[in-house]
Amino acid sequence: MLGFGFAWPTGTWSDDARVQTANDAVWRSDYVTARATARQTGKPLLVIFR
Amino acid sequence: MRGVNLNVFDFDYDLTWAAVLMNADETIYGRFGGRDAANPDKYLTLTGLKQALRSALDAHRRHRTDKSVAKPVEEFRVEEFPAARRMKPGACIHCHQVYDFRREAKRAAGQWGLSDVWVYPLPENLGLIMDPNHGTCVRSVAPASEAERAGLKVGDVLHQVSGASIASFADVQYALHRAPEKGSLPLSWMRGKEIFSATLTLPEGWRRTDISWRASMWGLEPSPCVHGRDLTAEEKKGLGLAEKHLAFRQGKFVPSPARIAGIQEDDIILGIDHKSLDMTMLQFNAFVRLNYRTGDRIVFQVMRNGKPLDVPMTLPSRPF
Repeated sequence: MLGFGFAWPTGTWSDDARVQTANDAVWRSDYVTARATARQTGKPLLVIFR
Repeated sequence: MRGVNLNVFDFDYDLTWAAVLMNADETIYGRFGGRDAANPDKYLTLTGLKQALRSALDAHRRHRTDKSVAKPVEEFRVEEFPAARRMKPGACIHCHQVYDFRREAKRAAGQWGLSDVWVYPLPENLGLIMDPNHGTCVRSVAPASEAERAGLKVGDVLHQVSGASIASFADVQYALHRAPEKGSLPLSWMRGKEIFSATLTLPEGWRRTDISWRASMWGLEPSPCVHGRDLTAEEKKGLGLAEKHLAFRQGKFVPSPARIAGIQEDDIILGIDHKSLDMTMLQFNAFVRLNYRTGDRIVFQVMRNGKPLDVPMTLPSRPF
């Protein structure tokens, strides 16, 4: 249902750090993890809904 | 959508693919996505995505030097809607159900009106046709439109709409979504290195868009209870119908109100109340929902085994 991505220092986007959630049950915890990683690394976050 | 804060992830929930570009503090840099009734992928181009990603990186650099602290966004999760609480615990909530749940809650509070269906209006409604490969760039301007009157020209690049920065087609649509039903819309754009600005007039009805593709449309009452495959232009020609005339073949599953009224599988639905309708099956479903009320007595025009037939039915409320 959802995916996350982060930007690398070169200023490009990469999906290497992508977290993919399969269903609603784990979305919230994955989102919390993704935000924490983005905060730590100083990167922006891409959240995809499909 | 369980666990998703709708006050942060505020986008067009009927889309099959949408992206939100943001900071970890939940500041939104931009959105990506968008479509029209004819093409679900119209604005999902790689070049458009690249532009949105680049703009988000620029916004991120600016944000990092911004010393002000982002205010936490008040949380409202989709599970808080009464309709969501009636679902099985843990059952997946689809994006488009946000619209269904919100409609039910607003109705219960007496705050829902038919005008609420015109979500995420297209810029075309104001005469502004954007470039799918460069969502902020004007591809054409309709003659005598509000956009032309405001002075917009082909090649202009939208800068801000209603004070919000624009980096994609989705951002344009988001700004339009938040614009009033009638009034004015300030916007600015780049032409070469110059910035221009103007205020567009929003005439009554400007938000009206073809919503027949929207999954949330199916939850609107009343349902005509008929659906199926549109006839091809060739098949219509064989029946002596114009290419765009409504004509679809009722599918195998006939909802009970239509079945009890006498509609059968393979009936060709040609119209309602002897109106001449140029539309698709999906548009017909939207047409009935927007122009009739539950309990209205209607008459379908049907072709069965080559013979015309009138089938009366009372439009039911759900569930049926």
